[in-house]
Amino acid sequence: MFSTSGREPFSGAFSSRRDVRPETTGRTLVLMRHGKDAMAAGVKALSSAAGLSTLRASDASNSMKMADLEPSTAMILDEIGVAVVNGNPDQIGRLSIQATRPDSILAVEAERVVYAAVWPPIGAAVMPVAPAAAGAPNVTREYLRGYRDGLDHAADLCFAGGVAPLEPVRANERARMNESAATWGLQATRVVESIWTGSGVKIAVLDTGFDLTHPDFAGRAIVTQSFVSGEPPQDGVGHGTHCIGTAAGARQPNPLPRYGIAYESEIYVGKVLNNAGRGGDADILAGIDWAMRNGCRVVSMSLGAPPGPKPSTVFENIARRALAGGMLIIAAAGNESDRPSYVAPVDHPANCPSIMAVAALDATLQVAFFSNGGIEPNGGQVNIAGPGVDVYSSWPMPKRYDTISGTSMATPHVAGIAALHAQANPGISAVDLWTRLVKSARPLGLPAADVGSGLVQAPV
Amino acid sequence: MLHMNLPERIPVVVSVDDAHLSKVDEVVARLRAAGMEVAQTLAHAGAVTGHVDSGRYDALKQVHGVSGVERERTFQLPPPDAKIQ
Repeated sequence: MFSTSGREPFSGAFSSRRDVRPETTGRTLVLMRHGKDAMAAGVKALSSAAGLSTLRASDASNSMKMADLEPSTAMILDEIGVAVVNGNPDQIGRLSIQATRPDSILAVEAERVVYAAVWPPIGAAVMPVAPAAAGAPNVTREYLRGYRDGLDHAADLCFAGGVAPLEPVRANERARMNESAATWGLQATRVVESIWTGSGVKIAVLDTGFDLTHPDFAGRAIVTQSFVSGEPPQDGVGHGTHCIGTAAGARQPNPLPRYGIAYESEIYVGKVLNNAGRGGDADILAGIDWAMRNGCRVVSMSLGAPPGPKPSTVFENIARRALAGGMLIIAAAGNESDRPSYVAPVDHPANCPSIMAVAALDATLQVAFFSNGGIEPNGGQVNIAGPGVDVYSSWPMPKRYDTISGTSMATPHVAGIAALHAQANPGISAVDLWTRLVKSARPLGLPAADVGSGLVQAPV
Repeated sequence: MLHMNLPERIPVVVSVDDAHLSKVDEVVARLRAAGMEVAQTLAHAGAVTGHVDSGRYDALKQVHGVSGVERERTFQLPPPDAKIQ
């Protein structure tokens, strides 16, 4: 975006909240006034005022590789009226003076580095990670910073007007993501960098049960209980196995990628939904009671029902009691939305103030189109967000793995990470655990009604 | 023609207040006396589940030691092959 007022470059283009200057290439962009005569005058200014050799991109014999541009040379892009200049500061200074008399040169700016808006960045250079996380994928901090700044800059350009908004990156961009070692969700939440394992922490997952024959969980401490009359804890659906995989799956499943968080936690499987995926409040409460009796620190509930005008008093009473007793209940915000045209309110029971409600993000850290929002003025807030689009995890045998989406998938991310925080802070109360999760979340610059305090982050 | 309005049997969940958390059995006895058919007593969470005839639903709320009475909600997951769950 070029300023025609002659003021200093960048002054309007970047958020003042950011101290970091954008990366630049060392080259300079010169905007020239359009029109044959004006362009000719501009080119003349480049050579006479700044002593630059000029090449025309339209000339087939010229290489278009800007990286190869010789010093003291300008490549003229006639069609758009821009010259890319490889000049020394003195030459650039003389061009900038020309820009204050805009009969030919309108603006002079340092060429910025931009990054493709894909998560994770394609071809990111490899940086070694801590030995404790061996086997984890490698992503450079510089690349992440550049990605973030690139997006900020693009957004600022859009808000400044005059630039067409970028097409949103689609969920099918996932095909280009590097999930060979760990799922994108474990990368985005910094689980892959975390030294914590969930050891000593009991996580209860109240769902459709678990596939107790799954090879990735051999040797794990698993306690099961069915609250569904006539059905054993064995998962006849898949949903429960997938959620438990995310919350507590193995550090090095075979085959990779890693998809689970608290790989040394004790798993409490509470089957509260039957093999048709159906259940009721009574069985959920029984599961919560069981988890409390067994000293679980975290309960993960990837289930929800359309809410009433206010949250359930019964569930709020029980959840408040659970919190006071050291157990954090985490539930899915729900998937009834169809953004942007429709945002549904947070489901029961996640809409209870004492239950942590989780929204879903995609791999570009945008709110998933189906993710419910905190639109009700009386309770029903979204507290935090987790990876919830194209989430790879365990599935009942023989299928073994599946990739699905939902606030159901975001919820066990938060639950598993809660277990890591609980291990890292022995004796922490459930209330303080809640606060820690919310405060350490990564801000996304998105409305709190949609994502709470942001993307949940593991303690590293 | 005589129409019999059979009372609807409502599945309910009840929460016990903090003051009665250590005396849940007392509250359960009163709920039964008020017409509730008790299925589960969840003493740790302080909850009671079961059924009650629709005509006696409101009376449950008046039982001493009860902090909440609600009709049970049900949950239904999408099918296992759904993209969004």
